[in-house]
Amino acid sequence: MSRTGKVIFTGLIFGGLLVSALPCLFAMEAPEEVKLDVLSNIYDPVVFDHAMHMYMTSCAACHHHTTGLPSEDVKCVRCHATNVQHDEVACTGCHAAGNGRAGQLKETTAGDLFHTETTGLKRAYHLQCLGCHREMEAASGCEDCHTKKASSL
Amino acid sequence: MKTTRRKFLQFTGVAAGASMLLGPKNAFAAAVKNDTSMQYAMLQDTTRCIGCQACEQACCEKNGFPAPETDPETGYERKTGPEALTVINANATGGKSIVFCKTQCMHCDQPACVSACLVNAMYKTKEGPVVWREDKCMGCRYCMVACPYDVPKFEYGSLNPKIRKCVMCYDRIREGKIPACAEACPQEAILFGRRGDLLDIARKRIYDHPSRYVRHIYGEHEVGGTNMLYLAGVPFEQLGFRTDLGTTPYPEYTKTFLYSVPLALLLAPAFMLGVRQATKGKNDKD
Repeated sequence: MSRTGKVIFTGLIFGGLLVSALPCLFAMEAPEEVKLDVLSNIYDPVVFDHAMHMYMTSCAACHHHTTGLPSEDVKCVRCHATNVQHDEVACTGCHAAGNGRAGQLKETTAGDLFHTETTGLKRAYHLQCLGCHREMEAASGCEDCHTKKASSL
Repeated sequence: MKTTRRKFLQFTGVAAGASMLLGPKNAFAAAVKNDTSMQYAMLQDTTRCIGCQACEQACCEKNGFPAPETDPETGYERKTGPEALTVINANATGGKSIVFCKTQCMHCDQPACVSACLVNAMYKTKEGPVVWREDKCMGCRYCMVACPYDVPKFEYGSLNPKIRKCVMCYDRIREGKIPACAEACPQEAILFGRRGDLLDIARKRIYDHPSRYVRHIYGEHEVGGTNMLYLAGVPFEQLGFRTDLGTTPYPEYTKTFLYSVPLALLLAPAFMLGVRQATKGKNDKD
C-alpha cells in the first residue's frame, strides 16, 4: 500500500470512529438504565431501559426542554426557545421525590406563573411512561412494570 | 320572707332574660368562627385516582392489618371495616369512564362522633385529625350511630374490642411524616397539608381546568366543613357521596337541647316554688 493510501485508510478509520462515537459524546452522561426501587419491599425494582428509549425517540419527547434539543411541547417553546442544555437533566431536578405535601407543592411553584403545580416524581413517571405506552399500545398494566416479588405476600 | 306576686314575676323575668342572653345560641356562635386554615387536612382529586389500591396497601401495612383482598368493582360497594380503614370504590358514571374514589373518616371540623361520645374518647385534636383514645373508651358505640358517614367500626370479633377508624396517621404527623396513604399514592391524587393551602390548590385546579372539574369542593362546607376535601369531574352524588347532609354541623342539632336541660332543671323548681308561694293561703301550713 502506498503512503497516500495508508493516510486515506487511517483517516477513514478515525473518521468512522468519530462519527460512530458522536451520539455517545452527546449522551455521555445519560444512564444506560435507571433502576426504580422505591417499592422494592413489595415489587421487584422497575428497570427502565434508558438506552433503548434513547434510540426509539428524541430526548425532548421526555425531557421537555432541558437537554438542549428543540422541545416538542408548544407550551415549553414559548419561553424555552433558545434550547440550552440545563445543568439538571434528570427528572428529579424539577420533580420532587417526596410528593403528597401541599406546602411543598405551593412553595416550589410560588411566584412562578407557568410551572404551576409541578407534579412529584412518581406522578411524573407514571404520566410520562403511561402516556406513550398507551398511545403506542405498549405494555400499560400495573404488573407489566411492577412485577410482584416471589417472596412477598 | 313572704313571696308576693310582684316579686315572683320579677324573679322569673330576670331568670328568663338571663337565659336568653347566656343561652345556647350565643354560646355556640363563638365556636362556629373557628379558623381551620392552619389545621392538617387532605385533598383527594378523584380525577387522578387510578384505583391501584396503593393507599389501602400502605394503610394496612402501617396499622398491621392483612392486605386488602377485594378489588374495586363497579356496582359493588366496598365498605370500611375494623381492618380496612380506607377503601377505594369504583363508580360507573353516566357515559364517562369509571371514576375511583377513596373512602375514610372525613375528620369533620365539628364531629358528631365527638359530641356523641360520653367519655371524650373520640377527640378532635387541635391539629385537625379526629382520634380515638383507647384508655377512655367504654365501648358504647354511640359514635358509630352519630357519624353521618358511617365511619367508626367496632371489632365485634375481638375479646378486647376497639373502635377503628382513620386517624389521619396522627402518630406519623407528629413525627413530621405525612399520612401513609398520601405518601404511597403514585398519582398524587391524595395531597396532605394545611387546610387553607389545600383549598387554595383545589380552587386553582378548578379555575385552571374548568372543563375537568365540577365547581364544588366537597368538604369545604359539608356538615360545617371537614378536613378531608374532594375534587371531582362528575357531580358528587354519582360517586356515592352524601349530598343530603347540609352545611349545619351535626352537634348544633343537639346542642340547643342539651344546653336547655340544665336551664330547665333550674327554672322549673323555682317556678313551681313561686306558684306555691304566691297561691298559698294565710292558714296553709308548709
